[in-house]
Amino acid sequence: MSDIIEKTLASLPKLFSDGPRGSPGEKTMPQKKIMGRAFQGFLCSVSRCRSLTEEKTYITHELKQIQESLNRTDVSQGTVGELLFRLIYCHLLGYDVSFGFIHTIKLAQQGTGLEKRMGYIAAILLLHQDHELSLLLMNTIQKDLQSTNILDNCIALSAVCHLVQSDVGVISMMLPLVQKKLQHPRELVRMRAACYILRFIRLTPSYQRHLQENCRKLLYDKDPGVMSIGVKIQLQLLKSGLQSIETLTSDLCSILQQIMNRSLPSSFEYHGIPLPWLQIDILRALACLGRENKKNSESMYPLLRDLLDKFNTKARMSYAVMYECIVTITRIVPHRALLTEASVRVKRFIGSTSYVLKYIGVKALTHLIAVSPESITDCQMIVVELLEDPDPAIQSKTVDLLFSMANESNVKVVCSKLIEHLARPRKDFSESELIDRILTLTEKYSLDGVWGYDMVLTILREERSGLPRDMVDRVLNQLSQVLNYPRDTSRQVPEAVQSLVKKSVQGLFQENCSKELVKIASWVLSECSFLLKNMPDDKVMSLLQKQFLRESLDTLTRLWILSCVTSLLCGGIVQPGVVTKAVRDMRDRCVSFCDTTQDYTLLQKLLECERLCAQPLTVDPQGLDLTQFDFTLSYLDDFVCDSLEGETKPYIHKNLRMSPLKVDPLFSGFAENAGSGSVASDSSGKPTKSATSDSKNVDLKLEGVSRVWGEEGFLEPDPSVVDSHNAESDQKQRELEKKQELAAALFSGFHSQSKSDAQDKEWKDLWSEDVPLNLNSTSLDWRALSAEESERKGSSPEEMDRQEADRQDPGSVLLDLSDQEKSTEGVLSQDPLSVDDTEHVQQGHEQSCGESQDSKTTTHQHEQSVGLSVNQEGGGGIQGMNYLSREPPPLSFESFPEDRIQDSSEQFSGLYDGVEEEEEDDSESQGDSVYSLSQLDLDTVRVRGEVRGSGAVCDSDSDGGSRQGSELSLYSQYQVLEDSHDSEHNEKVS
Amino acid sequence: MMQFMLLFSRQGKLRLQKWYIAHPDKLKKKITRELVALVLSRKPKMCSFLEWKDLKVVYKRYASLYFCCAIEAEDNELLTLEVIHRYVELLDKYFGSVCELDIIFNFEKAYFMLDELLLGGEVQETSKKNVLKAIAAQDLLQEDEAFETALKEHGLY
Repeated sequence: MSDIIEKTLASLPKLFSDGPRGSPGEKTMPQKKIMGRAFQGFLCSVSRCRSLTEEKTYITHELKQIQESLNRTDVSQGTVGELLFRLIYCHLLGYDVSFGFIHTIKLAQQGTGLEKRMGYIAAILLLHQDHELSLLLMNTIQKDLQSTNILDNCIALSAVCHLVQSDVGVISMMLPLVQKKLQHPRELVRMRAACYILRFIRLTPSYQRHLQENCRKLLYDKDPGVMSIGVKIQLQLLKSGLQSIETLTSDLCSILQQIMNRSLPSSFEYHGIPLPWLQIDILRALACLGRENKKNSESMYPLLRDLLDKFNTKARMSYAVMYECIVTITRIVPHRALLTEASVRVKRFIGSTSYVLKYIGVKALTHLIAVSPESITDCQMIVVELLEDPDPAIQSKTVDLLFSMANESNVKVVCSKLIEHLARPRKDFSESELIDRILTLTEKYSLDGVWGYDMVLTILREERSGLPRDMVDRVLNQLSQVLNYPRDTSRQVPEAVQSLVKKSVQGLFQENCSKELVKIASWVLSECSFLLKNMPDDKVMSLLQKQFLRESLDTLTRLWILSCVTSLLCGGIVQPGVVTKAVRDMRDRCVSFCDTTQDYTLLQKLLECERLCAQPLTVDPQGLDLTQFDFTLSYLDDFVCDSLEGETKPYIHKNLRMSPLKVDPLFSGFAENAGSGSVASDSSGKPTKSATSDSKNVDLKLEGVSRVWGEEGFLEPDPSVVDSHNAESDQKQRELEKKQELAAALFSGFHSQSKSDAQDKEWKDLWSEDVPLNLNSTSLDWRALSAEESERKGSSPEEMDRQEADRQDPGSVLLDLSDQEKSTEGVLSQDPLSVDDTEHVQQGHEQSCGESQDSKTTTHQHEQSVGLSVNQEGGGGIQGMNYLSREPPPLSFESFPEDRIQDSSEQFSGLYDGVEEEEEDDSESQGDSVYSLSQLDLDTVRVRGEVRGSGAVCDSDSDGGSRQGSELSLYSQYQVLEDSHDSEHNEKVS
Repeated sequence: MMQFMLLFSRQGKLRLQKWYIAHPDKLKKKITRELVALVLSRKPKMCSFLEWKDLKVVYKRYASLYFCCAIEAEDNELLTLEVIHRYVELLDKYFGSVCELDIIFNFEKAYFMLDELLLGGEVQETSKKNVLKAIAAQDLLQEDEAFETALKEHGLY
């Protein structure tokens, strides 16, 4: 017995040293050395290369050697693995290593343990899911998924995540295996399997239905890591709108509650915050769930409030969670108190000294403004400053903010700011987006069109590459509404139209304006040609001629100018003699500098113009009835019938024309069939609808026709004139349709609650575009929303009445608060730099964040300011009403007792009382202390950072936290905490 | 979801790259070149976020290394900053005060670790301990190849 014990004891040290792996083989040692020394030598010699060419010669040489040794059969797997890692390094440096791809797969297949792993890692790094060779790996992956070795399972699952395509066959092969792994006893494997499910749902959203059961189970997994992936999957399902949401809200809320109570393992804490990644995913899912869903939202309110209160402002991560919480609050059915809380936090974000937090603050404010527009009033000065910020990233976010806060009163200023930003050097993609936004704003708010046209002219003053494609169409659409006034000779022409024409002429005087401007201006001139009567005709012509002869213009733009000339001639504005002279001149010059082979259309048009001058036919554009169109071209019927009787071929549409010569002999049988089919259809077609392609005859008749059809100038460079006519009529119809659509879009809002209501929804839609967290497809329909809204309103008529009453007697209070009124009107709706206003605003600002002893008066003023801003911002008082009626009920008796008790007339003041007393005391002071701390620390840290910066490449500081703190001033305030935290961890580990 | 992650030095030399979306090599090189130039031209008093094409780029400098991640427009930038920080923490814990040379000479380890942290572009594990445990398991594997043979002997493989 003692022998046995002795033996056991004797074997213990050996067992400890070797572990359960048995005796260490001699072969492992040299392998490890090869990997170590040769590999490091390679890296050293690469980094020793002084120039790029030196490096290139070395690496191409090395690659050749690697290729040779990979192709040999006698190399061990360890060596292959090492060579593959060299390849990865070469790939990192940007060299082509495609010859080694197959070897990565081979190693993953044949190797065991470490070699297998190396092969997999190399395959993951070098291949991608669409690579054809990755298919070869599938078999290996399948085998390794079935293996009992956990590490093999893990690496195979990672490979699956990276390399499996969205191909249904491969997925259906993998999925059962992965699903089995969801039941694996080890959480490491379960988590990776869950990751694959997530990726699979992302790749093929349509196949997820039969997975829902499994996904739901993941939420109840005992390991928080697996559970967090489960939440991610739910979020993904919610985003694709395929998730049933009945019990999910309560489940997620209970998880969040658990996290906040810290009932989950403390090893999952990150810098003192429990499971922040999971928290953020839950918040996002809640935002999806609570959107337009009152019941769900109400169950979240207490939780969100708790979350806002519990924030530890000393940890960086908590800012990320706080931002997400604010976004969630703005997404769900709004709750006034929560929004006020959120706006207080946002203010602190924006006012922070750290650029990172500023950026996030601007983003949060952009979200917040969509639901509570009054929250901007406190931060307007900061926003104005941020507009001039040197950091382009912050600038562009502020521009986003400006766009979302535009309303009727401030839109002009916003637009001029946007145009200012346009002038700054930036990249193409943002330019086009910015122009698009300006156009959207002008379309939305420019009622008389003059101001919007001004903006357009300013944008087009110079040639731009990043113009939106449909810009001309959009502008013309907008202008045609202005020009569509009732045409009556007795009445005066509206001033707006006159100024439009004046501006167009001014625009044409510019030498280097963009061609879009030429198009638009010439269109305006031809539409309102009668307004040019007072202008000397040779001046008009010379102006057009000058533009026509600009070398940078293309044919299309020139055609626009010519149709303008035609229209002026027909309207009797310019004398035929002047035109003839000008047109001849243009033609001569045109031939001289144009490539004549391409510009037949232009020449033809010029000739037409000349002929038109010879026998002028003046048409009074005001007398023309442009509403009647003959789309079937019935006036051509006789002509077509005559031609058809006289041996002419019937017209065949361009797409149906087929030349039998081009048919490939291989497809001869098909071609015959197809050909006969098309012939049959042609012969059966009605001859009245088609026109002949006999261009000579058509040309003769065309002049008369073109006069009737006016001056749109949308002529395509198509030799067949009949086609161009069709196109023209189509174009008109399309325009008509567009106009109808636009009208429908403009006026459809009126049969719902109010205009401002629709506006509100529009804003929301904009946001759903930006951050598609809420892809609930049914709820995006705003008609449904307005119906819901009206329902909600109907349920509480007394409340509505009360609010209306509140709103309708502002006169008495307006009297003594004229000062306040100015401040709320705001810097942003006026010139932001004028001194008077700034003073007012500052005054208002100070008042609003005044001490608590003033709280009563301040509150009073707040009440006023909110009422006022509402009145100004929307289309009158209706918005105010809506806005109030959106107010959801309070959270609960416990959390907001004052809400219930409050008389509705004191509703605002009650809320603000709460804010003043609670917030001003603790959070403001807290915030101040944090920021002052950060400023103090900043200096010391900078000094340290400088010292370190002069040091060597590798920083020998053992404390990661403090070093990181020294890198960035932003986070300096948390340095102390971080240090302590790290040391804590050290202790734990040791 | 994260699109890709790049590590590069102050001189603009790429040290690590990890792509979670499929791009041809040419495009990858182009993106890398443009981004590195863009990030290196940023001044220290600017925020760590960039808008680049339809992506958002989050970067942070640790000593002489820039960590740069591209995320989708809807993602949370602050969170990405923390992912970077966590990765650095992990590297630090593993190498014991990590420096650029550690990453150059042990880049396979850096890749291992990144794989433990991010899978398919999603943060995979929120517990630092578990990540380090997984890495340690692999190191065991690396230290002793006979592990597999032992498993075979016991009929587990």
